[in-house]
Amino acid sequence: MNRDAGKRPFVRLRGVHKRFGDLQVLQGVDLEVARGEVVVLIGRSGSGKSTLLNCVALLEDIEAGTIEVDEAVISCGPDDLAALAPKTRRAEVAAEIGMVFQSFNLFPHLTVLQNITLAPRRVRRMSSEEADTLALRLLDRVGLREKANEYPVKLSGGQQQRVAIARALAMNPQVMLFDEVTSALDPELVGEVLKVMRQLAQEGMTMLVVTHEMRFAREVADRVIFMDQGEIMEDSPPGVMFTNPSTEEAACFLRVLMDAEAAE
Amino acid sequence: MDGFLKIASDIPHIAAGAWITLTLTAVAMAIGIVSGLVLVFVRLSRVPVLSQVAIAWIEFFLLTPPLIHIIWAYYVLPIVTGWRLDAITVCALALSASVGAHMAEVFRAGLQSIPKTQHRAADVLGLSVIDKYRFIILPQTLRVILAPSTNVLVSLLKDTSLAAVIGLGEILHRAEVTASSNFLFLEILTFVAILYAVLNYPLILLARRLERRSLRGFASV
Repeated sequence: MNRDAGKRPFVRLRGVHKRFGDLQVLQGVDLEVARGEVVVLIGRSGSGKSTLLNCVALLEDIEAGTIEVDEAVISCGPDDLAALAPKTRRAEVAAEIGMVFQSFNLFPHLTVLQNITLAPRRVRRMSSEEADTLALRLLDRVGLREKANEYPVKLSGGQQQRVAIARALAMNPQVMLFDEVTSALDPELVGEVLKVMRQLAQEGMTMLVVTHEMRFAREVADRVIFMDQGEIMEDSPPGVMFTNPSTEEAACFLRVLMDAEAAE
Repeated sequence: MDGFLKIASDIPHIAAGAWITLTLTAVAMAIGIVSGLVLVFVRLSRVPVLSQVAIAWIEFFLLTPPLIHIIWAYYVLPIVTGWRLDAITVCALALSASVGAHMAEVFRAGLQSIPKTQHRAADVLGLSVIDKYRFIILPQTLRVILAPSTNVLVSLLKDTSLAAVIGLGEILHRAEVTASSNFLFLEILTFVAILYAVLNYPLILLARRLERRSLRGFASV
């Protein structure tokens, strides 16, 4: 699935540092993701995976380093301000980044359709007819067209998460960030969400995925990244990561996970 | 029972004071809502100095009784500054300040009850700050603040009776004047209590209706 290998990376993090108070959450992360690549981030909770996604999504500022998407530096520490892209370009690029959260975060006072059409109408200035057509097409894609006029509270967790994916896709993102999107779901609902993500990967979407679904990682990822204490410890293709990880930390983490899976 | 028949002729005069009561309520609520919104956004903006001024203003009017403000503005202000305001202006301003402080707190509680994740979802979609508040945050806040706002409004309507102390001819003042000439205090004050309840009741009904309407999407309605 790595179609554009060799071209300039679509997402590029250099020396990214992030701190919450005294807690150093990211300590000099370097990461490059090519267009169309699917990168899965794994690691213990607190290892900095979700923070990394939040930084790329511009939900968090960073203390040092640069984050570049589509050849524009969209976030940087105070020392790199000179590299920062102009504000309009940053807004443009930010709109190309879609994100889906663990807790769905649908807008509870809006219907499914309104959840999806709001941003295209307000940010992309689409007419409501255009936006409705787009939303229904996306709902078809995630198999929820018949729920268009329901409020989120009437949907199962899996359905809500699929709506959240459709909502992100409505902005026609060039890269999608998935932050443990199946962790809050009942086991029987995980599959329907992963199916949508698998389909997206096959269509060539650039994806950064934080997940504990190791089977998904094995099948869909181009690269698997193991993070520990705010650092990238290992960056390997899934075939290597899951059979023969090169670091002791990754091996240990995966052993615990496999044992847990086997015990199920 | 005799007494109640005897006050029948006084009722129209006392009830006519309701116009002043309702006008004061409407004016103070309108100014209070607008100033409460301004105060809460200044407060939450964390702009140095301005934000502290907003906090001090809110707390002063939360911690001190509106009765004092009315008396102070009516009797002391002219001595200190030379400005003389008429009774209805004094009452409108004093009650507005109190309502503004209470509404600022109601708005703050409402805004802070919206999970941070809603802000994040809106931010990631690229919505501007104004659009985020207009379409996502404020509609959800409105649902949360309906009940406490009604409480503020209901208290305000009752608090307009404080205007009686500076002789403004609202319900209570008219009642007191009437009672002190015919000595039917029990009957007249009972009637006045019922009158306030009657005036306030529609507010409670309205709030219930709005609350039901705003529950869409939150519970199985």
